[in-house]
Amino acid sequence: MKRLFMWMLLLIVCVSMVATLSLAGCKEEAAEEEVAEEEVAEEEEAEEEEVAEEEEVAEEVTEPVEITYWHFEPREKAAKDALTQAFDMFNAQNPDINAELVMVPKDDFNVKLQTAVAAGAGPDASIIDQPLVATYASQGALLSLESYISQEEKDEFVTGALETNYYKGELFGLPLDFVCIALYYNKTLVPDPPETWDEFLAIAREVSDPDNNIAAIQIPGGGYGAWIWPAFVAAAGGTMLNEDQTEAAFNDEAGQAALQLWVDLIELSPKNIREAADAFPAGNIAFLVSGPWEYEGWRANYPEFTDYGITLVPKEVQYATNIGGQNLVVYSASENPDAAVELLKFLTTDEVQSIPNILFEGNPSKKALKDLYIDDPDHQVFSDQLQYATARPGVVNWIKINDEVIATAIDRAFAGEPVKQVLDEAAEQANAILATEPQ
Amino acid sequence: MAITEKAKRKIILNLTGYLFLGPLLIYFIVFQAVPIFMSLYYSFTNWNIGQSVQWVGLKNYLDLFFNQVSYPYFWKSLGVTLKFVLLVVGGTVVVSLFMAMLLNTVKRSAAFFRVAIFLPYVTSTVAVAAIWKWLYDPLYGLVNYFFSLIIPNFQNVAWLKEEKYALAAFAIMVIWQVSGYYMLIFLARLKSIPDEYYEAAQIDGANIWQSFRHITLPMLRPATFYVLITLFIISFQVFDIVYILTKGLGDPNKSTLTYVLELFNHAFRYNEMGIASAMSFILFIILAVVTAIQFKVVPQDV
Repeated sequence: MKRLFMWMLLLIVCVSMVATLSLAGCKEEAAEEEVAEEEVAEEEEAEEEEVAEEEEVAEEVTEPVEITYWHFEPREKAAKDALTQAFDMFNAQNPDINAELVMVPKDDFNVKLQTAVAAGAGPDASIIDQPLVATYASQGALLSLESYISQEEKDEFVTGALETNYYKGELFGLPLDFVCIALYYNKTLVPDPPETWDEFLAIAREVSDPDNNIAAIQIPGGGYGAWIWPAFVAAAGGTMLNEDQTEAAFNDEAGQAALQLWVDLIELSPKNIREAADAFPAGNIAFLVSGPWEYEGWRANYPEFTDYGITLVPKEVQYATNIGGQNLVVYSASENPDAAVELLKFLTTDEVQSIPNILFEGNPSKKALKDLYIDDPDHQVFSDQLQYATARPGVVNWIKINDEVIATAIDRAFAGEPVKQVLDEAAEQANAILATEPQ
Repeated sequence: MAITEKAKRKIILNLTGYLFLGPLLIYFIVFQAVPIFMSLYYSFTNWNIGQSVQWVGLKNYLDLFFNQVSYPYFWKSLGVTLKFVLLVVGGTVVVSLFMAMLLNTVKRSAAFFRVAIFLPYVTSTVAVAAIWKWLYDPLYGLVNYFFSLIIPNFQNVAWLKEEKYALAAFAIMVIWQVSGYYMLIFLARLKSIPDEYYEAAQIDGANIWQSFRHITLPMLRPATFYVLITLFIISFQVFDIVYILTKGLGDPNKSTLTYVLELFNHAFRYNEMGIASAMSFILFIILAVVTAIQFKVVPQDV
């Protein structure tokens, strides 16, 4: 009895081991099986064709082309339904294409995509974080869209949004949806919002009152602040890099003016007030430079707080803002690039972009849809502001320069170091990193 | 038949053993050993996942050590981590030993206190981060409130946003979170110290401090040794709580940019897998050396 029991156990272990081993070797076997199946299928098809030819003169039935598309998995069910609906529409309109929608949670998306593309198992097309367009394009993983997209089609997109798809002057994607920052102001503290930097600073000086827990503004430092700062550099007429994106330009007069403005504003905003949780809806700060997620959050969490306004970022020389959001790309490994580009064009049509809840965040990227949110003034301001957006530099190492160079410069300036010196050192460091860009 | 019954039995027994080990062994080789050696190989290349691998020899290691322009935060993150390790190891040993000794004397509802103190250890780090973020809040936080009760005219402090306090604030969170676990280890050891020793010391006229110094501490050595080694390793590898509360940036002004956080950024934000692999092997060597020194220096036996 005992012996029998032992043998049974052994058998189970054996089976599980064989299963594990065969899993390890399954790739080859699967490949072999596939070949075998294909052969069988071909034989069957051949037979079927014969039958078909014999029985009737059939019309030529072509199998639809299969393509896969990866998208961030939306948090809301309404957004998932909208996406599914769009894909049903696409497949119905294009009987020769069968597009499969795969939703991947955003937190895992980049790592999954990176490994899948590297292993040659990636999708035909996907949504992608803006700064990654340069990364993938530099690796030759993306299909150039220059021969697919005409100048008229390009002109339909908001300029700043389209710019985020270029790498070394070549178009690699289409913009899907966009966010930018604008200026929030507390209506009680600031009845008339500023339009220029001088007014901005004057109002900030007036309202700042640390003894009563009122700070002028919240500007985040660090890498997040470094994403916002280019908006102010552009407002002063400057750019982050020179025209061919080989050298830093943010330490010129415009950059210095932008950083000096931030330092002046932050001095009127003690940390122990501006860093408090939800300081703006609580009425502790007068200004906030941020994106549409702020008011979306307040609508959910502070429904009674309506005492705020949103306006364009004040200008020194011109109106300007930064840009963030998502693009659509086709991978060079795709076996059906034509069908994949067709899908991209479909997803960026005015019709699809105006389906409620279809955008992952922010605003559509089409000029024609500028007034889509005219009934929602908060949302509409961001649409207006987007028209003045400037894209991030399209260099592979931009995230690193953002996090490790510009973020540090801002933090050091906030800590009291002279603006010019901080920026000159940052520019030197940025140039060293830019020198390592792939050619 | 050359094989005797006994030898046959032995072979079968051995085989059974290996078969039982098999599944785990395969898992270990495929998912642990192979990746470790692959990452050792990648640490000598400029791999970035997307492109083909190029051998660059010791360049990654040399760049990390000497190229201050491209990798300005390597030494800084190492310094931040060392400070953090000292704070956490020191703090946790003192706090958990203190709590263990308190619990050792408690007679009633000891189980309740044990559970209460252990609870933070099994709480998810995300929840811990959310709780402490509110405790540290400059306007509404209880920490500032308590200070304002003790110190007249106390100016509220943004604990997580001031360069001089942020790292210590993180250390306190981690100490609070892990102390319960180390308390249990100390407590188990404390329970095994025979009462006779204390009675004898008392008869000899030893006071509380003397019996702690000459009986409790030496008797705790095996526990202390284990606690020190594991604490050094976990605090060197701190990542999640800093990642959650600073969004991966090590704010303010990189004062909380710990080593593993910087490693993660190189791997998954800046696409520098080669550099990240090199960093992980430098960390491995540091931990191996520190542990070896501890084995030599810290007394392990009673």
